[in-house]
Amino acid sequence: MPGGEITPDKLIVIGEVAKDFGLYTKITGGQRIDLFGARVEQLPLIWKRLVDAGMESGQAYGKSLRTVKSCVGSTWCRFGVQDSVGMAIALELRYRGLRAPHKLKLGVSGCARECAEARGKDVGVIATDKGWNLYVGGNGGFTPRHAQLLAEDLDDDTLVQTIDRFFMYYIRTADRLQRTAVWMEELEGGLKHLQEVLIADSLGIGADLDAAMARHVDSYSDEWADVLGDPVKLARFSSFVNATDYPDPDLLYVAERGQKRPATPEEKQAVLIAGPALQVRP
Amino acid sequence: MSWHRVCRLHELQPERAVAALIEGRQVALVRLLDDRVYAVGHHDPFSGANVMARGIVGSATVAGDTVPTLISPMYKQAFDLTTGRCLTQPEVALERWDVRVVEDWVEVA
Repeated sequence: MPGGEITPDKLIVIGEVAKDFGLYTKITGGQRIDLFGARVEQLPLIWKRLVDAGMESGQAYGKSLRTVKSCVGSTWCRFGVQDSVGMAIALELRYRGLRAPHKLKLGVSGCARECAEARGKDVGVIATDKGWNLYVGGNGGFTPRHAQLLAEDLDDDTLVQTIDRFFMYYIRTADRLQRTAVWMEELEGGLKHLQEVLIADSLGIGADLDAAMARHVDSYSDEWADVLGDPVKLARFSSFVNATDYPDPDLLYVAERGQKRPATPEEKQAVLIAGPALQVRP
Repeated sequence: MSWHRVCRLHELQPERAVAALIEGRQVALVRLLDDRVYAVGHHDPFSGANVMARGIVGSATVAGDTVPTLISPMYKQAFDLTTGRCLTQPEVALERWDVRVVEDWVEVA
């Protein structure tokens, strides 16, 4: 769901899949939809339904691009000065699947009111009346940090090129599991060094970084859709190698607020002793 | 417990684990690059979930010897595949079964 934008038809498909497979459903903090409680052998069936409806299962896990959060932007908001949704979608489609030392989050706000909380992201983009301001090195988590201003009033192409270089420079030089904020802290020269390398090309590596990102963009494919077409990978999505359609019998759920949730160890014990006195769901 | 035929060796990918069901017990089967196969409990004692076969296969040095390990995908504890024992908390262990390969059949007891 790039940019958190979704058509009613796609939303209906998601709802139908959630109902058919009995999945716990929640809107995430990253403008996506969580569907929890699927068994491993159900995943390919679920992916197929979503892929056939023109969606991807999501890049929501892994040390790679997570979400690009956006506000509604100039299209629907009286304060918006740029199309933040359009830019967020373009950035998500460009960087989806990009493997990195740690997870990567982006935000795009359509004006300085900052509804997308872009400065709390690794890369934050905030619209100005002349273009885009680019902030880098923000995060939430244990030690929240605001992203710092790297460049001002960029046009679309320069914005994308600068983010390309920022990500590739980070990916090539950061330690494993080091997020962008800590990497920047430990980088000699800090923000000023980044401006020299990424914008003034002081190390002469700009074209190399650009080419590396171009290779990523050109080679992207939806890994969940790929599994559906690969019998060897598909075989890994079975419950048991010698009982492929027999679901894990230890999974137990109880009802809460009209949906299912995993039973606690105490609830599992109670069901074992007294039988299903709790409302147990399949 | 007698020997149970579980699957063909070539169905197992090296350095990966799969779950198997043996007399109602959930087992994680691990094939190494040299075709040794180990069987330990699929139940992760730390998280309480049946997920060990989705863990990462690796190795560690224990008392000077290199031993194959299986790492829980939940909280990342490493277990010695030869003994089932957790490397960081030796009082915790996975169940362990004997494995033999007979003409491409993997058998567990």
